[in-house]
Amino acid sequence: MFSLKITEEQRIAREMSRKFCAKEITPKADALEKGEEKIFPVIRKFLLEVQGTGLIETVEDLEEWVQGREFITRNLVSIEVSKALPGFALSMGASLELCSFSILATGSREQQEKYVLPLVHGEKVGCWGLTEPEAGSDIRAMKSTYKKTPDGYILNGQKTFITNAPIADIFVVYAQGEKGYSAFILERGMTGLDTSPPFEKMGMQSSPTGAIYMDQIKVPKENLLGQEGQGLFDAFRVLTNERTVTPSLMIGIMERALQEATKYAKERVQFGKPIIRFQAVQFLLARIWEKLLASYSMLFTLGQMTELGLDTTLLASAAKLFTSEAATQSALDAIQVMGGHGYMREAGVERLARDAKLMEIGAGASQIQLMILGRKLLESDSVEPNPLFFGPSLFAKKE
Amino acid sequence: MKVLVCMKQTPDTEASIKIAADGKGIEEQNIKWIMSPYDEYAVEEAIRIKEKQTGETVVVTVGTDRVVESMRTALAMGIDRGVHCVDPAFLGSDALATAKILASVIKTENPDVVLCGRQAIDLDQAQAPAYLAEILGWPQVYSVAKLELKGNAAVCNRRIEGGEEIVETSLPCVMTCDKGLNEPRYASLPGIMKAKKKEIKKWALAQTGLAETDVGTAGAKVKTLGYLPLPDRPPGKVFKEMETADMVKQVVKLLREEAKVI
Ligand SMILES: Cc1cc2nc3c(=O)[nH]c(=O)nc-3n(C[C@H](O)[C@H](O)[C@H](O)COP(=O)(O)OP(=O)(O)OC[C@H]3O[C@@H](n4cnc5c(N)ncnc54)[C@H](O)[C@@H]3O)c2cc1C
Repeated sequence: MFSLKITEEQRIAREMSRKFCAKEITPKADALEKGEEKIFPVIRKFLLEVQGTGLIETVEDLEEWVQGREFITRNLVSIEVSKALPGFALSMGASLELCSFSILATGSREQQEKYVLPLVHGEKVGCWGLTEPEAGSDIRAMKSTYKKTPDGYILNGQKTFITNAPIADIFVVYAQGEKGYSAFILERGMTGLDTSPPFEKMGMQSSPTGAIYMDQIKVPKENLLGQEGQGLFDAFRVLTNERTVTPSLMIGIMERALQEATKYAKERVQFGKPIIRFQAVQFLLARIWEKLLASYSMLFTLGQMTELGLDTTLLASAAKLFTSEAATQSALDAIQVMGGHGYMREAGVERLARDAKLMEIGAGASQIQLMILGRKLLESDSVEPNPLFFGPSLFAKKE
Repeated sequence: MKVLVCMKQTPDTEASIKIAADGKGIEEQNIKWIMSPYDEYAVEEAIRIKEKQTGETVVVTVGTDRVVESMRTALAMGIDRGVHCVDPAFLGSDALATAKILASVIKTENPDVVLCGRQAIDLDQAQAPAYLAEILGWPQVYSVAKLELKGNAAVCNRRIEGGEEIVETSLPCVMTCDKGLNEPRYASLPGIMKAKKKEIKKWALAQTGLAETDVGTAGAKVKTLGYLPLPDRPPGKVFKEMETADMVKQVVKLLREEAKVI
């Protein structure tokens, strides 16, 4: 049966996430943004106490956990986190949805045991490095190289704009070699591996972003991730996952923007009445809500398709594109509703606009998502436009 | 050690409360309901006792179907099972009638310790636990901020004005939990999934052994005549466009003559 009826468990899960955020994140949000407090101890607490990952002791537990995670619950929980602090969601996402996910998707059992377990426990911090100074949207232009040696590989090159790189313990990176693009797992402490300090940036300031430097790193052969030469296909799978989790991040921002702006509009009196009485203000708020509702619909459809095993790549692109642009616009509109106060840091809404903007760039810029959709129209003779009629997932487990 | 927790569901601390049209209650629709925060300390303490010494934990709640969600939250935190006291006859129970219902469960369950919150944050009466201890004939320790169980006795630190009082009590007993006793855990996602399968037994009037006249509106010794909202705060006065010294004079004058505080 097709049902989005919220269950008691989902309600409780959302409530717990909300409670955690109110107690552990919101009071520290400013300090986390200014770098006065470290983000990862809070993420660890969240993973252990809300996600309950401490119970995952073996690879079998891990598989059971991954299978058992239900789409709506996961997203309800993330939306709350993003509402409290998008940078928190971003850093946690880079460790779990990018780094861990890539190892879960194509890693060996040994790799999952060695790397994913400490990552889901929040004991170790993960990052995922694809982007390079000269290879952003054009990822095939990557300059990082690997060379096969008798006992492993030698890696050289540089990655940049990598979430968590400055604090990471475990790195998944991509490089080019004889057999094409391949992925490797690196560990902090390997000779020749270094990272930059966190870059100063527009938003998402609680999430450290930096560069990875690879200088003649000797990588043991068991640290090859997935099949040699399959790197870009595997990376595409990780990117699809990232685009699937982006809507919850953006929905969190929109909900927060809507709530803050609505509350303010009811309190702020001009021309003798609360400004929410002016239709021009109501319409700004209604536009935010409209975008939020549309984003929810996309998210639910993505959830249903994921559970049905349908190919989500196109909808994930469209959802990432739509929700990120909608979130930036919503945050800007919320500032408009709040006037000068909204422009002030203290109100906490200008931060939402700065944070939202990232997702129009990361995980493939908006133009790239449009290209993915456009190319599909160009290349297929007749395109099925209805997502429920899309084919099976490209990443269905090959047993 | 068997620990039983009496838990009440209350409106969220941040809910904006509106008086119902008949003036006899509050508007229950559209507000968020939570486990009364002091009861969370009781739930947490029960789980910790079990973690330390094994045994069983039970949560008991009197209320309509709506309270099940809060009970399920207690189960998700780690309580083993629940008893939900629900019957149309229970509606309108005062603290004494509620205590009678709870006592009927406790007599069957035979726990070593009954933990309650210090007070429910809605009506702030803090009466049910005392009635409960009286009905059961058990000792009662109120406002416990530290608890140590030693065999058949408990040593409790109680919050009192300006310090703490240390009391020893025999078991079984009723204790009410205060802030500082512990840091309640979050219900984790696996805990929430596990709670789905835990038992919540229904407990109706027939099971209590009480008469219809003991409980609900019929059994209530306290009759609530009505509820009044807090009076609206009168708007503040703003003095503008005068010299500061004159403004101060005006303010002092009002404080003296109108507010009569100086
Ligand atoms: C805070 C932050 C965190 C990040 N975290 C990570 C991470 O964890 N891991 C990781 O690998 N990367 C990460 N990135 C990098 C991110 O994925 C890239 O910035 C993104 O892919 C865009 O690449 P670029 O910055 O090189 O922009 P470019 O590719 O140089 O693009 C510049 C502009 O040109 C447009 N453009 C490019 N090509 C075309 C085209 N063919 N047609 C039309 N327009 C085009 C783009 O849309 C964009 O507007 C992060 C970035 C930021 C800012």
